Amino acid sequence: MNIILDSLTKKFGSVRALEKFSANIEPGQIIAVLGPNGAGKTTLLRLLSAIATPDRGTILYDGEKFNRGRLDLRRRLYFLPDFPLVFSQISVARQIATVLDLYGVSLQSAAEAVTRHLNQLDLLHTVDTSVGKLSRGQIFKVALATLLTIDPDLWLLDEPFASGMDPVGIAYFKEQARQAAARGRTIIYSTQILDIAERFSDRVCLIYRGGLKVFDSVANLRDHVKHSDNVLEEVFRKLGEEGQ
Amino acid sequence: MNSIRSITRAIRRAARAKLRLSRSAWKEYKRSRGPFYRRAGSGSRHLGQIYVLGFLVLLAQRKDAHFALLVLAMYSTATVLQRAYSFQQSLYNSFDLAFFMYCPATDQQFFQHVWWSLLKSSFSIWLSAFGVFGLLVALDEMPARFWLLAAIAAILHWLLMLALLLAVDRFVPIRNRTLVSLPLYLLTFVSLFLPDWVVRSAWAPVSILPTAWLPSVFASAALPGEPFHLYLIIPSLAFIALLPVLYKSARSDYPRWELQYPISLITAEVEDEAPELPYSESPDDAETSNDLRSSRDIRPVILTSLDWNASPWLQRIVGKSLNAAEKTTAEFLLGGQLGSWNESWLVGIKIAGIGLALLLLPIIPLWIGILVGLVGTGFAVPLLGGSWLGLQLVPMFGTVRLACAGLPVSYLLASRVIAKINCIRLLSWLPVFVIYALAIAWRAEAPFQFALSVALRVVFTVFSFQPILILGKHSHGTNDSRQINFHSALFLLLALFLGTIYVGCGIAFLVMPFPPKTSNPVLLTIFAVAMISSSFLLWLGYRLFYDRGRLDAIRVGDR
Repeated sequence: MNIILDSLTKKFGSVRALEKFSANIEPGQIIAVLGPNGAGKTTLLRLLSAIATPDRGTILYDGEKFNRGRLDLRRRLYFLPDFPLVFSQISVARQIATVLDLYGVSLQSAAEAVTRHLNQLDLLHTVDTSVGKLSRGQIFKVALATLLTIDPDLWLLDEPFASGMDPVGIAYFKEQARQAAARGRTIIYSTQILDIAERFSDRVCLIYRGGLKVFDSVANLRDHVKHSDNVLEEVFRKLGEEGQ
Repeated sequence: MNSIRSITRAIRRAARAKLRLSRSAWKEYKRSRGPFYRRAGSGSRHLGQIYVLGFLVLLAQRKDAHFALLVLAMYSTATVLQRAYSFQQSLYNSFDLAFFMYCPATDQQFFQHVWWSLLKSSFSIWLSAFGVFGLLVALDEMPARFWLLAAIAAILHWLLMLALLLAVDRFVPIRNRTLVSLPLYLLTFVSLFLPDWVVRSAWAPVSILPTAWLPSVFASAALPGEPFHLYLIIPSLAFIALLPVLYKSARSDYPRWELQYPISLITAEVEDEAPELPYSESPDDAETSNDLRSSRDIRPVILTSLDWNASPWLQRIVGKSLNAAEKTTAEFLLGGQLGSWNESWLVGIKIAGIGLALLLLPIIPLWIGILVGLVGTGFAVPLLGGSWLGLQLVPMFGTVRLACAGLPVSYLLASRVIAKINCIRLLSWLPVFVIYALAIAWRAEAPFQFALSVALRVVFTVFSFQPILILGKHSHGTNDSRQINFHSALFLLLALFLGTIYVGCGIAFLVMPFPPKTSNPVLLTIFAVAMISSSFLLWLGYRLFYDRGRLDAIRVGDR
């Protein structure tokens, strides 16, 4: 999915969450969205998933204008927040089925894929357990299994590495994301863990004070900084100095 | 819906087939799934509707058709208001809305989802109506065909209530209908214990309400000697005919204003949101969180405590009654701001004043003045224990817990603070109770002494109920009713025993003096002591249960 973000501006009252944010995102990439707390990372992900609407600017998916009413486009993306919304009284199987139904996933492919992903995420035994009885990490895994089953063109994830998932889950997510990117899927995730972002992303999108400061590959960034082993830390430090 | 079911079934089938391949995996699956009655979607939570049976047993004992119809009409009125409020909350500010906003669903699909939930939850209306109509059929030993009539009347009553609910949702501008419906539910409960003459005089005004139309029609059609009210079927059917129109109009108009992501419900998600920070108005000069952070670093932070003395009189009296530790706890329980009890008291006194004026006008029926007075009391007195932000539920990954659960707030101290504040608020309303009692006595030509004694008994009952209300405020955020072990079973037995004593003595305490001559001071004192003791012992029992960690201060969320 080709994504064009054109001068996105989002304000909450007088608060500038995003200001004239523009970017062109080619398909088949893993993109890390970085930035200090309150920089606008979650707002960007919410705009990309139509949970929030930009005050100004447009989002184009494959050249088509995106808004909340475009269900066809919304079915091509899945937003996994850091605290996934679940119905605590229903079973894991039912929770996943509820979302799959809204995405129009076919019955035959769903059961097999869900079972495979739940098994890999060490959650198969909870298929009949109430979601409310699961831990935070397990709930995130349930939502991740749903995302992997849907396998949309655009994956949006908010802080997947601070979600409470265990190393098995994180490793499985990374493996699946890499495979998906190779298939042409776009994966956009936010994180504060620079080490992971440096190793697990094709490009880095750094937001600072609501604006896009850096949108480049890690390899290119390495050419511009002194300490090539801590590229992103160096970039952050420089931004901090400029901000002062 | 079928689609979700079939996908769920297919996932379960495939997962179970894979789990069966490994003995340990299958064992783990069975352990995680839990016993059948605690499984997800087992339907055991619907057992709560069994309360209808309790109502029916009480109604059957009275063997009075008007009494049963009055209770049904009042219950239906309260339910229409309550459900209309919940319907709007679900549509515009609910967890379900937040969930659907993450999924590719149209607004119309979401509306449909909420409507189905409403239909399912409103089943209790049909159940109650069928219960009441069936009871009348059974009591009068009518032929079998009347059971069919009861079922049809109950269906029509249910449809009429749905139409009313949609009409209330669209056209009745009450911001918080819970404020109206809760006193009505209370009145419904209280009416179960009213003497016959009150029921007879209350039925006439209540029967005008649309919620009483079909009960009146059923009574006319099935019961001998009833006044002719069959004509009420015409407006009832007309209203029911409007149901599809109201539904279509509500569906097509949804959303009536722009939908906002209900972020306040998902407390954990506000962490990364910038809007909490104050920014300057000019876009050019707009600050960001980083600017503010750097400026905050150099400014000293001064934590000021709330000034109880500079507050209105009721808050000032409360402040004087609390010691330093209690004040700290009270400020936390109130969410960092002093309560608005004085303002509520003033609203209550204005409403009660209107009610008093209505009471003194002989042309206005007595019950109207009493009803207005009750509404005023609802504002001024914490009849349900008051509102405490520190004891509200906080959602967290599918679970809920009390806001104070992770903080050093003791059960004893929180209880003491709430009890003190509620008692002061109750005492501040005592003169109004007394004046009202005297006015009612004057109107009903009853002895003033008797009226005073009734008023004081009502005040005492509200007062004695406080420990149970405080217990309930703590209990609603724990898993006490879901975790069955030796201690919870023991407490349940104690609660049943003491609860029975409280309810029994409470009814006797309130109802006994209606023929004034039979009121016995010694017996009344025994009842009063039993009420306050059982209520306090229940609170104390729960304290042992709570403080010794025999329950979790977190439970699975309702949704």
